[in-house]
Amino acid sequence: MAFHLGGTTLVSWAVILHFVAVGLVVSGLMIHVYMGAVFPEEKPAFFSMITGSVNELYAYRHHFKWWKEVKMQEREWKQEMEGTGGEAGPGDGNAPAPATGESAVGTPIRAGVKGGIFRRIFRQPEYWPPYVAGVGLGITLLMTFILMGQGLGASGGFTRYLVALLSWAAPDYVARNPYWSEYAQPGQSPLMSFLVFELIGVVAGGFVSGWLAHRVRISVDKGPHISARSRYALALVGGVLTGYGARLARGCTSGLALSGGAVLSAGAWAFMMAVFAAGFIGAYFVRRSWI
Amino acid sequence: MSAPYFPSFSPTMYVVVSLLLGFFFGFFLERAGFSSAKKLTAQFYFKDFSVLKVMFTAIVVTMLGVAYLAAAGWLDMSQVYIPLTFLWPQVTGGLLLGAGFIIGGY
Repeated sequence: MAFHLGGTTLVSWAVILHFVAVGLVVSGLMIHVYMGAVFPEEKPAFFSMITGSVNELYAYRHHFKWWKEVKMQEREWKQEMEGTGGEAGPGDGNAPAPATGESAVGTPIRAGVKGGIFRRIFRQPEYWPPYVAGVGLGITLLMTFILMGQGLGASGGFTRYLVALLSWAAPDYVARNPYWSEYAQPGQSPLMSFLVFELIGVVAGGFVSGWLAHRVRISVDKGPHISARSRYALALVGGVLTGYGARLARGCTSGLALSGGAVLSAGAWAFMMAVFAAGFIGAYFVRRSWI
Repeated sequence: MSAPYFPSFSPTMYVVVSLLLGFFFGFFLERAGFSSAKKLTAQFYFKDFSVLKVMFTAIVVTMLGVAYLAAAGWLDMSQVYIPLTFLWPQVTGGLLLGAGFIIGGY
């Protein structure tokens, strides 16, 4: 066997497994060939790969949600063009609201977007498109590497706040503990660090962004099937796990996965994969909290 | 003079630059919707992948920038902190953090 690992039993099982896998792949291939070339129901899908379009019946049968979405858009568009409800559904046809119908005439389809360029970019309640925000975040991170020689982070800053608090309350304990004492070198405040000030900036930046976009409010962000009290309890449990995990890995999703990933630290990528793996697996068990 | 620039900063300058970088970090995170626990966890239910998109866009932008600047000789990589690899602690920490992420909503 490769690399001289394993005995004959392993090789024998590998041969069987290999044949089973070949059988599965070949049958899958045959189904695909049949569906692509022979089965009449699926022909529009095949041709759509070239033309980019399918007929309405196909869309209705195979992608009902998409069909419905297009229909709804068509209807909205018609209403706006005609201004009087158009082919409105039941309840809308004899709507006692000609005034709103009138005002809809001539307004652009995306009625929410209006005002100057500043308003349009910063004051809309919708989030930015992910790729736009991602480029902004990337440039910030790049500037951080250029200016500070390190990446952005979060958990390291919180650690330093805690060390400062501990060295004020129990300096002997900090000096004896090898983990804390590393942060509390004599003659240097544990707070004199990039991350400590960066965190203050993060709070300010997040608040300004949310305030500009009218998103600042006090609420409990949760799914519809969980009480606020349970959500608080779960948040505490999650926070403990997150905090411990972040310090065990020497970084959190910002400090290790994002910043370390960008400078191709192998451990950062392993960490990132582990985070997503645990997230996707764990999601099933706490689905009541979120959906 | 080549980057990174922090050794030449005065303490005041250091604090101001840190605050500013943090400000933009927080600003773009909020713009992307990272302030909402529901949006953060939606990716794990295959509903909204914007967190993943934002994160990887940022990583790619930074990665290319750092690579080009380092190749051009402007960014001195020996001065840049690259997280050390401790594979098993980091995998374990990642699993714990991922579980905490989905339970607590980060």
